Amino acid sequence: MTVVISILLTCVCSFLLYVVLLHKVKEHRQYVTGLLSVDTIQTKLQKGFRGFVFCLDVVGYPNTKNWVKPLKQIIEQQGLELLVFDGHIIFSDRMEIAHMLKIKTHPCIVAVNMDDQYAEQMIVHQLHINQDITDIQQFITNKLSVIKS
Amino acid sequence: MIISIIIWIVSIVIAFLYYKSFVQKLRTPYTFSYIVSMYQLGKYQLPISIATRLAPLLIVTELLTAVWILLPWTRLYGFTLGSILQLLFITVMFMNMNRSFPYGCGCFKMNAPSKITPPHLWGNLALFVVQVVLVIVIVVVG
Repeated sequence: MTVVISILLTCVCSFLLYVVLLHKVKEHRQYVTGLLSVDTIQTKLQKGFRGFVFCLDVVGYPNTKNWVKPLKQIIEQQGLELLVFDGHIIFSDRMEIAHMLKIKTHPCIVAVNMDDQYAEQMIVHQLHINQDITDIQQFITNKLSVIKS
Repeated sequence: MIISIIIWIVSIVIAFLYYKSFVQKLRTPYTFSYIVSMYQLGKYQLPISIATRLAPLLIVTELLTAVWILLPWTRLYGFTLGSILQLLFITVMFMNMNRSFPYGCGCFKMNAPSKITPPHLWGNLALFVVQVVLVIVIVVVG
């Protein structure tokens, strides 16, 4: 009897956990698939992009969208664009983008002005939770005037 | 008495291994789904839509195995489930030997690029053998 109850109880709990995990996976997948495709990014860069590029580990870190959101607002308020993509995909599938942005390693943030061939990057130490964005915010603020001019 | 103590010690160690693996995958279940979709079964590669349903199931199964192994009255089922899991891991690892995975192989470490090497396979094989032996011992000794 103890065996049956234990198995039933653990199976019910496992099923509930499975449902929660399915939801978490779905949420993360929606964010990743909602990002611009590598083709679109490449076209944008070739057409003279001005703004910031976040080359991150989007697949590996589910909380990325949380800390990117306030930074996106700062950038867009200045009339500039923000591109977010997964570094692994760029380095394995589309090295041209890495060359265009002079990216050698990731995760990183790049201030870009393709008209002037300007691309300056900052390496980011991506964390699972409570990502400290103070340094990134500082970098963006410093580069805003350079990119806009 | 000695056999019982050995079974307890081995059970705790194996349950801890499964629990550790579960916690790793629990942090980023989508990453694990992505890794699962990258495994090749011959010429066939699992579509991400199926991997996103299968990977959470594997994560939950690892926890279930750990719990069943820890409880003495469900231990036999725990080791049986663990053996099945290991057999599955060994098979897919063998089919993907020396392949690189940008987000890790989903074995114990995630988010760091890794390659499936023979030590990965031997480790899983050892875990499989130990669990099969324990299933036999529990059935025989009772």
